[in-house]
Amino acid sequence: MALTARLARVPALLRAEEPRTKPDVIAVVAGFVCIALVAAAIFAPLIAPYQPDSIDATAINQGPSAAHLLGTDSLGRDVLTRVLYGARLSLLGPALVTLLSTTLGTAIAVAGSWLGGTADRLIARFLDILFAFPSILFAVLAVIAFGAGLIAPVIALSVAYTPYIARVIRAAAVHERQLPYIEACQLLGYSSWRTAANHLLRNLRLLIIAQATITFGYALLDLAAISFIGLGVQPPTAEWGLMVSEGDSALLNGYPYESLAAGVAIVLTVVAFNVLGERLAARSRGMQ
Amino acid sequence: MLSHVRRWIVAPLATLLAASFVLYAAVWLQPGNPLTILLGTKASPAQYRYLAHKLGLDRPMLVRYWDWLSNAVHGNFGTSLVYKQSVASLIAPRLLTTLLLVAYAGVIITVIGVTLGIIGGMSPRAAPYVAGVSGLGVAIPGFVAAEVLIAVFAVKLGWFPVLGTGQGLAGRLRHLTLPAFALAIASIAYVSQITRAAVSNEEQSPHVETARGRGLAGPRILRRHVLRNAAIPIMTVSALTVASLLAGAIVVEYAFGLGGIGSLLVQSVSDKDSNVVLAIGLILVLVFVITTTALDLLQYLLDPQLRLKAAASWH
Repeated sequence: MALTARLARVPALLRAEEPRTKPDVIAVVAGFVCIALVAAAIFAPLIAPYQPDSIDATAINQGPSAAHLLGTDSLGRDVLTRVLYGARLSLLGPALVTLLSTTLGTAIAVAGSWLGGTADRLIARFLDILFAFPSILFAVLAVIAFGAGLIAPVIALSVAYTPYIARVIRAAAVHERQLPYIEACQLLGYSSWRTAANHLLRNLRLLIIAQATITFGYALLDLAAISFIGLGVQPPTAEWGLMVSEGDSALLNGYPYESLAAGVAIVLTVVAFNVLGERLAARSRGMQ
Repeated sequence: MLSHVRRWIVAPLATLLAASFVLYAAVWLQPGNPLTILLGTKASPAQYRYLAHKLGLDRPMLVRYWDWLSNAVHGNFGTSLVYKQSVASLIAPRLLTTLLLVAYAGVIITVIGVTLGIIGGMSPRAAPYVAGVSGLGVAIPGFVAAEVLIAVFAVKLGWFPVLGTGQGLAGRLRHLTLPAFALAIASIAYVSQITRAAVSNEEQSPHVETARGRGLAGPRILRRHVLRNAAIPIMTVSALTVASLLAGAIVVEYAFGLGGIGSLLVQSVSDKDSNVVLAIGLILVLVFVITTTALDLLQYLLDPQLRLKAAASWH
């Protein structure tokens, strides 16, 4: 998707939000949706009405009914069950990408802003090279090198997203570094490590969490796209991007239920995480 | 002057050089040797050595990289291991399809995205609706949009063909309509978000208040005072979005079975057809670097403020 072009390119413009005093209903709803999705993934075996791979030749490509709330796929598997089980890998992948790229990006950004000078410029040059690759091309290259599956695209996207996170965090870190509390820490004789890890990062935490939340949504879109083109998670595993693609032939015959259910799951998840991330980002700007 | 040459010529070229090496290294790092694919597993070691020598695979990687790059600069990307024809002749017709698709989507994105954004930015009543729709839109990936469009407009209503590329320009455009919209939806939403923010920012600025106070007509204020200032972020985002469409086309072409370079890339990855992957990868990187560089230059020329604070940040 190269949706990465959207991460943090024009942050200054979206800065108009004012700090809120009353509870933010939309953010709370988005938060609940996120929690519910994670819960559905964890408790899939308890909630799901069927087994994810139980084939039923007598119930192929059925529409929604009492027995199958979201219908069945071309092998007669229950779509609701597969959407619930699919949440596991569909959410685990982006979670790993978010964790890796946020850790790496924050470390690079803080190191760059702290060291300054040549080190900072070298880091910037290196990140420029990474910027030149659309994230999906990175993933494709990783698949060539390490084979299709979940691991290769996850590693590739973690690298691809790192510069976007680093750029945002660095701008904030440079600003924080000039504040008196950093100087105070240095006067107190704290080590650079302690000052950066304990004090600087603590003040940046809301921004970091906001970036991570937004990254999660984009990582989910990219990973689902990679599964859709057949280079990610392989059948018969339940995964949302793969389900959209597997429902393709049934869709052409007028049974769009599998593709649509998985597609709606993807869009719903991404909207929820995006809304939450943008609200958190607005709050972190309000704090600064 | 020297710093300008460095910023817009040397730096992008260096980025491109490094990126091309990363690309080459990644493709040739693969454990599944292309020779195994060509010869199968039953070939003798002598056959391996012969073919490796014939294809030049027995030389050090740096030497091969340099050969590949200098040939690529001259438009020679080698031979496809699968199709047994030159990569350039394989890619050329497909590149045309992809460029047509991207151009079609680009027009849709700028026209609809900017219009929606201006409506949202000008009218406080419409703003929450535009914000809501675009908030939903950015989360719709191209392949989901593709399936929905196929289900509704091709299968149910039968207005558009499902698959294939079509004959003649009119036929091609008809076949490309659904793919172009699938490719465009998320970007329309994003461009309209940025446009709305930029326009409403300008709407509240003192110089627009002044213009309104002077009693100038609404359309004139929009054209002369709002859009002129809002144009830079809108242009930036539109151009970056259109550049990223080439990568988005990979998935959308696959979804519609369109014969472009995107679907060829996916096929070549599965086939381990290294030369084709390298060529398409290089095209994607090249387009991205050229667009971002051109954009950087254009911004610099259009916005005098940037000339003053150029050294302040990473970019």
